[in-house]
Amino acid sequence: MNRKKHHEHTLEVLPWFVNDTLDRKEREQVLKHLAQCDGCREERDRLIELQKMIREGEVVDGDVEFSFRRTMKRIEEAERNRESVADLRDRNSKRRLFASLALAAGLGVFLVGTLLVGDTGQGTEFQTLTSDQPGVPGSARQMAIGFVDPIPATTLRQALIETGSNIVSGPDENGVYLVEVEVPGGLSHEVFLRRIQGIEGVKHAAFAQ
Amino acid sequence: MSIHELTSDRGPEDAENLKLLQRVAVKDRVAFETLYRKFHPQLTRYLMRLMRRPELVEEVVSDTLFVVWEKATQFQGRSRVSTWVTGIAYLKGIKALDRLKTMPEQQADELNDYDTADDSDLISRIGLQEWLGSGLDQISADQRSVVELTYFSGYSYQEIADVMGCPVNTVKTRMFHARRRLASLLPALAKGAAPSDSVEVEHGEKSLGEQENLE
Repeated sequence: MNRKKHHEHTLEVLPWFVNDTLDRKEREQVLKHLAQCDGCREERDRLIELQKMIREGEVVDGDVEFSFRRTMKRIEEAERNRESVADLRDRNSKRRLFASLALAAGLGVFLVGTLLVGDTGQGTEFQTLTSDQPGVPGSARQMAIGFVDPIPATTLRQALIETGSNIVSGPDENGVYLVEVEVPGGLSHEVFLRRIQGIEGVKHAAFAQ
Repeated sequence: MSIHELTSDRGPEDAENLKLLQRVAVKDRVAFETLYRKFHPQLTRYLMRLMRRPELVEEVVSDTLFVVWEKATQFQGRSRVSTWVTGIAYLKGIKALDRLKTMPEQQADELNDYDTADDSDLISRIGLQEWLGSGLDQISADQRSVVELTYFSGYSYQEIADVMGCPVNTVKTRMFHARRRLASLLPALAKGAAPSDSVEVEHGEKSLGEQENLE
């Protein structure tokens, strides 16, 4: 570092020379430059004066008791809020779980019921959508089902397994599942569909095209 | 690394503060009260200097120590505890000043009553301390922060960079502008006190964005 650079560097770090926080190497460099530079020595003295003025300045006497009580009140409020939010979240999640279970159970019971009640004894007979005549052979159909409260996929899956149905895909971004169901013999597709739509908690049900 | 695994080799005061903070992290209210009483005076003083708004300082001190309570577990020991706490105070103070800028005019005018804006007749009217206060009013909050942390709190430029979340060169640039401004305002510092222009050019090259902000 040449003399000019030393001078600039010294001027730059003088405040921290004055407050005594320079590391040993930098401090030695500054001391060496100060020994040969009147201008920097004068500036150092002025900064010492400034530091003295600042240290002697304004006695700040805040009310720590008031401040502490106030902050503790905030902390307690924040903790109460957190507890009530956690409580609410817990209650909502339990409510959703119960609703889902009830819905899945309802769906399961309905599908099992329709399979049993609609069973004409011919085992694999199905009805077509265009025929309301019992006994007319039908086929497995794909149905889109959406729910008022999102139902956990595992719960729905379990209900469908129980009824011999399958999840084809879903849920999509609207929470709608595509499931494959067997329309039991003795029930038209329309009746079957209306019954599915009538289950509490089912928001939307339609046969897939 | 968890706060509970940290140890301090930055002197006995920091070691004591760290122990308190570790207890605060497990929501020990007695430790928090001790820490509160310890930091309240220095934060009040620092924020008074930074903000020049006595009416806002108490709120910001409370905000700062509230964050310490909430976030104690996040302390990672990269600096002294006091540097970390002062860094929170700095951010809260700057945020409060920013909010003030967007305050409706009438409210801001009311708060301006706290300013000591008229410096035309200061020598005869007030003492040196008031003059210093007035000088500090005329530099930016960031410059005041550097001046206060250097001369009152005794921080190194690296620690100030940590507190203010900026590069060391920015700290030096802010100090440069503060010194030059104060030297032009305060008689005790006036005579040839401003750092030379050549230093300014060098800083300008290092931290141009900062220069633009300050001018």
